[in-house]
Amino acid sequence: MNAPAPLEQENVIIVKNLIKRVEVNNGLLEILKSISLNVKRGQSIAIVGASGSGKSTLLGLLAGLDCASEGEVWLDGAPLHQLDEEQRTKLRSDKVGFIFQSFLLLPALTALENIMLPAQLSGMEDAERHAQELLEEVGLSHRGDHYPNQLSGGEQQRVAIARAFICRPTILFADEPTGNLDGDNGKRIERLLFELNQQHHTTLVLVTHDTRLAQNCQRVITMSDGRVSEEATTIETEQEELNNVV
Amino acid sequence: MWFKPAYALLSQQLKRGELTIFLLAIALAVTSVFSLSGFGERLNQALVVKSNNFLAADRVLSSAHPIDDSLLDQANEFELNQASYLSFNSMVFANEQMLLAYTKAVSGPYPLRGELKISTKPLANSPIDSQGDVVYGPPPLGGVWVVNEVLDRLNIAIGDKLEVGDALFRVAGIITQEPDASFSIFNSSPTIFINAKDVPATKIIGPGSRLYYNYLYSGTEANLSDYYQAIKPKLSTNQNWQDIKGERSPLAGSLKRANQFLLLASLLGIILAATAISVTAQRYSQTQFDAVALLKTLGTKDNIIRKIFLFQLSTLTFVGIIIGLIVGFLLQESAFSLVAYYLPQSLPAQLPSLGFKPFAIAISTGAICAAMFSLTPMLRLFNVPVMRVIKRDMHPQPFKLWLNGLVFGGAIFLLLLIYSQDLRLSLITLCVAALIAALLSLLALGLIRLSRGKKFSAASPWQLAIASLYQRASAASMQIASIATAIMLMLIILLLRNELVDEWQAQIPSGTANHFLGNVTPDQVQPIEALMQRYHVESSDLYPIIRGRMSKINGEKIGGYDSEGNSETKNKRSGRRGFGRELSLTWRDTLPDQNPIEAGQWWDKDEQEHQVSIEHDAAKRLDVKIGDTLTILIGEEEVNAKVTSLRHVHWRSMRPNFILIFNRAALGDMPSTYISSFYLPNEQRHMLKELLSQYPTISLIKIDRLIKKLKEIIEQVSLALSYIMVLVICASVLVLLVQIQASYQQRHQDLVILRTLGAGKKLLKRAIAIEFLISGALAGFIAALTTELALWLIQTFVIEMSWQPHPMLWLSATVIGSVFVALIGTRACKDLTQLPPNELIRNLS
Repeated sequence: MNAPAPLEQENVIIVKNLIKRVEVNNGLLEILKSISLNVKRGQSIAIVGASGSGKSTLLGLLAGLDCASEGEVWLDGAPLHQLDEEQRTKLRSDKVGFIFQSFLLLPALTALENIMLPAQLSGMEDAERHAQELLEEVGLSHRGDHYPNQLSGGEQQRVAIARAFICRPTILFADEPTGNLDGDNGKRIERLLFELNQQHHTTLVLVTHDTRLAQNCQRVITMSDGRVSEEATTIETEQEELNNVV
Repeated sequence: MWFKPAYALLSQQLKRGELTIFLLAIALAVTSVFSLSGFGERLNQALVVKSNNFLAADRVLSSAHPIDDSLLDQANEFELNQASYLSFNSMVFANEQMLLAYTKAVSGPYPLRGELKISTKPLANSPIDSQGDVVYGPPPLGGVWVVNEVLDRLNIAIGDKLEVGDALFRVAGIITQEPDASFSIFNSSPTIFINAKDVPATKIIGPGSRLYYNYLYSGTEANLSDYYQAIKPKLSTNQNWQDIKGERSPLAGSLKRANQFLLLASLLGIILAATAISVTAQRYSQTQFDAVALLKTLGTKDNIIRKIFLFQLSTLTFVGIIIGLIVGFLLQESAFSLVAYYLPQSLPAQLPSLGFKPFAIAISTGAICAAMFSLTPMLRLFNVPVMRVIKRDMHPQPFKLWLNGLVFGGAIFLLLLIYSQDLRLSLITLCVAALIAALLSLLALGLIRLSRGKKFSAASPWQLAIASLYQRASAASMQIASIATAIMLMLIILLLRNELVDEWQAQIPSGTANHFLGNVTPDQVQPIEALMQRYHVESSDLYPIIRGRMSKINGEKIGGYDSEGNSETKNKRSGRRGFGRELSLTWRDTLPDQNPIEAGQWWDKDEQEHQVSIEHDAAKRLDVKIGDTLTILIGEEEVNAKVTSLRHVHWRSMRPNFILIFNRAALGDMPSTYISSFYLPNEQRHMLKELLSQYPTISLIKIDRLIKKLKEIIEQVSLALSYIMVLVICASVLVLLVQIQASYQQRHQDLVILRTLGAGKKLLKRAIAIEFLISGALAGFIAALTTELALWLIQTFVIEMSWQPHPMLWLSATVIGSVFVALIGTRACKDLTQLPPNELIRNLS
């Protein structure tokens, strides 16, 4: 593994010529077409685009949930493209938080236990106290022993947000975090997400259809047909800067 | 208009495999029921045929008088084969020695079942039944066939003369195998066969002679039964229609139990299959919620939706039944051909064929299961709210638990009743099953709730496993309940099978009496006892035998017979009928072994009042209670005795057993002969020579051959039980898989979340294994508890065996349960822990 260059330390995510192909009936389909992208530490970035443009596939690759067909992904200095599945799992457990559209809480666990879950998996001490604090921050301290099926959609997403922050992740990935919520609840979650993001100095990568939500991010990139389009110039400039340094 | 979309939907769902489980469950139900009932019925037929060899016929009509010719002619109308023999005891003479022989005067193609073997040469030093040739019909006129004992005791050989009554016969052969050799110790004389046409020349038959006319029949079950129904009104009560099952013999008992066991195993198989269908019907309904909501949104009328899904259901049921019949047929065919090797018939053509019944039962099982178990899930499906297309968490209202229970219980009961045609057995099985299911679910729920502690750590596979169980507490309790039921069924079958075999074996343990001694006179008692002691032979006590007939209870004549025993008199107490025969009575000072007192008390040795102890079943039949007075007619003398105890008698034990035992005061002065049983090891056989030469008038029967035949039957029956056990185990494994399949989707989702949040493969694998270990252990523990209960109920009320606790069961059931469920569960969930990375992203999108 090569040591990251000084400039790369500023960039918590570095993507170089990323290609993803999948097998279909009549051969291979290229879902992501040579994507290059850098995300700076503490930055919030929204990935927008039409359905099928490749947003969620890109998110999965950035988070180490899937492997690219070609290209490189560096996540906080770690080369995801060179790690095996178990190493990527460990990395996720240490540095990554997730928020999903359908909340994805474990129905077997209470709200508090769901929040504690990633902390316990990464061996964090005092997980319960941290979980309690976060539960308070999201305004659900009185619902800690409730199971997901006893909570409303908005409450479940608040638990999911608390869960995402418990390990103090370097990067937080959110996939349509307000997609399953009504207007009021959506706004509340949005507010909460950005507040906590600022408070915890986390890098936020957000996939959404919601343009209003996207506008709250420092950067917006648009995807279409497997390519990053609007940010192309910015990325190219950054790429040149990077090349000059390297 | 509905057919095309219905067909398209069905074929699409079939292609995607969504309906495979439901189809398999129907096929499984039909397969198990068909193979169990088909195999069971054929095996039963084969065993009955084999056992009928012991009667030398399928049915025997025995009578103290010749029966009317018209009855015999009627048998021809029912296409029955016939033979007959007249039996009596008579003295035979040769070399100026005499011997009491049991004589059979045979006519017709005797035996109709089994083999009679006659050797026309002196016996060689090889197993006796391997010698001689199979013969049918009586000896030649003027000829007599004798058992070897007659030759030994009278010192004669083949070709020598033997006097029977006034006629002189020539010994024409030695009987080496006799299918219906008497196993009764009261007919303990050696057997000889003569031709029925020679009987008048012997001049044995006269007024007062004690003769038994035995008419033998063979034919199809239906014809035999029709013939019996036709002649039944014309039979008097001293004419007995016997089949092997009605016999009070060790064999009859074993066979009856084997039948009940086969039936019980099949019933348990049906419940298992029904459980599988019920679970999959619910799952099938749930998978269709979205489709129904969508159809409703698109404006499809309710009756069209109903037609679409009823078409799906009936098509699946039809295909499932066909698959089940084919697999079931092949399965039972191959199993039966394996077992057939051990059955008596050597030619495949003679093997019992598969009747109509298994087909009918299997088809109706498939149809009833599909219809009734799909009823509530289908009704729920039709009630899916249209809003589900927008809010996917909107479900139709579930039915009340009691309603589900009623439908499920009703369906099971219907199936049990159709299958067993036995209301009592069906009710007992249903009640036990319902009680157990309720108990199991509550217990499982309680145990799961208890196991969920306050502290939780996701890093511990134990905690993850328990949390997962807790999450599905009500589903898991049902799941554990059905796994427990499956384990319980296996245990019951295993234990019952072992206990049946053990009990059969226990009837003939080593050291069991292998000889009976009869016709011992009072003055011979002491010297014979001394002789036995000298040879260290352990014998049962010598029992005095007095023949007598019960004539009155509390001074009232009992129905069926007058004091002469040969004419019928209707009695106002029509519920009480006598035994219809002379009884062998005995008297004793002490209670015999293996005759536990059930009520009352055994008498004191010096008791002067006439007292009697009666076997409890006979007491029940005659409505006799403690304190009643029985009148016994012995010759011309009446003896009255008060009933002071009821005894349980082990009829299958190889020892002298009595319905009535009197005290010394009642019968001590009556003239009697004595009987006894004893075990004589092979190396002490020379004692017999001394015994018989010193006391030529005593009779001796060797029961080794009976024991050998019993062992053969036991081996065959246990083989059949093993096969059925394997089938039930297969069915229970499938039920378990169906249950795991039902929770698969939820497990999948949970694992995806855990993997995404950084849980390692090892942790998840362990958590899954532990979850199944825990549920298996819980199921095993609960199964042990309920097995004890069920065994007690079954053994006490259904198959009438004595119950004993099984301490090892608790440990072994828990271990078996956890290992069994963990192995199958982890295997079934293996691909869940091997989730490829793209699965994760697919679940996120």
